[in-house]
Amino acid sequence: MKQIAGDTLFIDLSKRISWREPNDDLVRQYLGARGINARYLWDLYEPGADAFGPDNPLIFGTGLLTGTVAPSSGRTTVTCLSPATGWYLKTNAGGHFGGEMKYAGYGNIVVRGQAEEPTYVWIDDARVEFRDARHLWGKDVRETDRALKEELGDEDIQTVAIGPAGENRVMFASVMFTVYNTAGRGGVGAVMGSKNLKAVAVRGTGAVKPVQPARFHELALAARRSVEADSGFEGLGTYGTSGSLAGVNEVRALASYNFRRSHIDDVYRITGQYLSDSGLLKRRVACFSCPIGCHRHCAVGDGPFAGSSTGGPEYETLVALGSGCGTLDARAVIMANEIANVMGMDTISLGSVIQWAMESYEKGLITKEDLDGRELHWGDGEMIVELARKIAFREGFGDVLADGVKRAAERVGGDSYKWAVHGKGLEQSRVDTRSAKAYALAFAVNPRGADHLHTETFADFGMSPEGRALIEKITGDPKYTAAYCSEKRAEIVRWHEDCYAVTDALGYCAFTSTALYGVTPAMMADIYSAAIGIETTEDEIMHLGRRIVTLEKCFNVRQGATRADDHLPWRLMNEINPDRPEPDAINSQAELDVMLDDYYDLHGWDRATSWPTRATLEAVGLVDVGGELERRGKLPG
Amino acid sequence: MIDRIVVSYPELCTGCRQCELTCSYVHEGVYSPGLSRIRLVRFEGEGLSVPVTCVYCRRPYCEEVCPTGAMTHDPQTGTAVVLEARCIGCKECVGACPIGAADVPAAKDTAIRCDLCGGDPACVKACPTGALKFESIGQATREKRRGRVKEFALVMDATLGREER
Amino acid sequence: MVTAMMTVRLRFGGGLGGTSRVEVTDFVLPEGTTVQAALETLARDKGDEVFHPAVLVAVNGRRIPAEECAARTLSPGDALTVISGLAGG
Repeated sequence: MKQIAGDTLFIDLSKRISWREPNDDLVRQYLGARGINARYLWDLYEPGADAFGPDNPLIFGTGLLTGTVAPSSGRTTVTCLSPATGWYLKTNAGGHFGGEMKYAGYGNIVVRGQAEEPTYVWIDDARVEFRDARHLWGKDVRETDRALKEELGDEDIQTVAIGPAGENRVMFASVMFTVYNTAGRGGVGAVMGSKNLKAVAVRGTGAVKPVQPARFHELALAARRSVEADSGFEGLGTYGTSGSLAGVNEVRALASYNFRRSHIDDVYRITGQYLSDSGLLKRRVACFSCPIGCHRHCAVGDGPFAGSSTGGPEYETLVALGSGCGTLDARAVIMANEIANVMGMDTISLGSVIQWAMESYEKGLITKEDLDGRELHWGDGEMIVELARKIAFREGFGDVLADGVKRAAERVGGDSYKWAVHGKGLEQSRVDTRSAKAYALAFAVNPRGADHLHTETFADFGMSPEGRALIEKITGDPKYTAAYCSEKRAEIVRWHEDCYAVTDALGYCAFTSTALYGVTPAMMADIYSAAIGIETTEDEIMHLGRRIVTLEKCFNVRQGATRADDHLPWRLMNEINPDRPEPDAINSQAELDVMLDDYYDLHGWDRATSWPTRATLEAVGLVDVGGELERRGKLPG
Repeated sequence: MIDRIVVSYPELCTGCRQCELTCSYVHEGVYSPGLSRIRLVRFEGEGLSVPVTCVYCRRPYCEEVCPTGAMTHDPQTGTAVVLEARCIGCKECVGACPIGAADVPAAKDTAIRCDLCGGDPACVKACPTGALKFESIGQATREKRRGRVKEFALVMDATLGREER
Repeated sequence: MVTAMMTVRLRFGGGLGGTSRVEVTDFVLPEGTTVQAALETLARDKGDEVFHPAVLVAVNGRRIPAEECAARTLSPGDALTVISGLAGG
């Protein structure tokens, strides 16, 4: 199976050496990408090691199916300990780096140690070189990609790079694949910066071949037809995720003004439909092997933000830097998105800290003096753009904001923690969980923090018949397709966790299985069987997904996590959503507790601590992990 | 002889590479863009991608420079044929092709060139956005003319020669 | 007998029926009209797309599934939303 799975490449930046090992056992136990990454992180990370030190492994893993014609199957996961949260971090991106990595012969790349000087790694098929990056340090991501292509004499190489934000250890610095594709959350870019690793460039001239090529190809074509037949396919390609703002707004879940509102009146001006109508959208862009093509490339021709040209903006970006900050100026959002992209920063967290700052300013906890004589009002697009730059370079108040909303609130003090909208230290995705209870549970239990990219329970909104059919399949009754309903959410979240883990591990985009529903677990089992030549059933592959999810939880348990860490932001737990007709639209502790109890019971985790039990760990094939947790006193009972 | 070729519409190309992956699979049984007869030229900073493949020159330099006669065409259909047993991998065809549609991939060491899949190009079927069409250049040009004129033809219909007395 | 009429605020578009914006207009209907009947009236103007599977139908911000549309009646002052649902997050 080596010709589809690739080897693991180990890179030691301290010793400037590399070596490779085959992956077969890990593929059979953890599938690929995120799954194999999680196992490496468990094995190689020693609790207590500094997130910015040489002993925080930075692990890249691309899907088992990456490199093939399976639709939207080229995604790559990056895994490490998060410096922002102190918890487990996996983050995922599209683009084309994964394909090139696989053609070079690698499924996973484990980076350890710390380089003495800025360095980049050049992977040219089997040859691996450590190269001086001092001349690249300080360059933005786009400049870095260009410089590498010129220096290495090949316009078709793929790069993953950090920008100044990662170099400056901004707590939400991202790593950027293929220029605009962000593995964004949790500060993975800061970890890469702490290793003095500016970029990895790769050229792969090899081929990927499944063990059963003809069967695989047929299944891949069938998967593609299935994705294309989904009722949401055309809309997602035409408008991108930015096309769903109007719908989310209608169901009162569009997080605006730092989650003080969940519905705004003239949402059109920051929707994907507007981007198309106005001509701001220049092109649609697709990731590796993807027929959907949901990515955008926008450019601004006139006004104060003229000259901006960038990948994006997506749903989260338009809400985080748009309605969340009280502006409907898509041009300002595009410019802020460009800065985030080229500086290498996560737009969700960037928007979140700016919104927090706006509210803090409104309430007098931050003043003009803090902001170098500048005012900061809701809706000020130019200030959004200016703060984005300052944060990337940790200039002035940017230095406070660059540490993320939790630490910024601790520093500024007073009541500002109340509007620091984060879970576990990670700024929340821009979905108002007071209007979407499956999201509420999912955000609370996500090991990396409060966001949707562990489950993507979009089916909960009931916006498509396929999503509604899925909820009915999981819960037995279509009446549970109601975002405001808090019953049966544990079942919905658990199914999505397993499916999402398998999706990530195979390299499929979550949009094929949990936003559109064209790729089902049964189909994933079949194509996995054809890929590695070993028959695997749907139950078996979901079991492997379960193992990955459980291992990630165990990592956090080993780090000291308990039930108390599965929480939601203060504002959502204590303030009622004013835009809902119900008088009690809140993520109350009582409601969360009921959902958590159900969720832990379903998983076989102890209710009091949230820790997986010995029996559960045995059932899911993590006996050795259970042994280590036991030695550390982290097994319940 | 050759009437229809693979015509690319770069404004519709999203850079997904399904064409490259399908072509390499159909011809070589593996997934490897380097072995594809159609290649994308990518400008990632601008989000641009342009498909390039053989355009079936009236006077194919690649065939003229080939020292062994390996780079040739089917006398009946006119579609490209590479006689791999005769190909010595000298790469003269690569240098001669003005658009870079002939290649000698490292993984293969003999030349490749688009053969139109015997009249039903797989890349065209694989393209999700319609950026590749199997059509004659004449047809492509006619459609381009009509598509543009259509926008105001209906206005013309409403206004020209309709003055009533 | 005079049929009592009511005004319902209609929110329509967002990518649906060629209308990108969410247009907000008043929609005058007989009192007691069901959501389904309202959609049928709308379809005469906007086309069958209002019945497309990926369309979001909501009343006052709460989604109404297709199977409930025939039973759910509208009240004066309700906001009826018919827009494109789409996907992703």
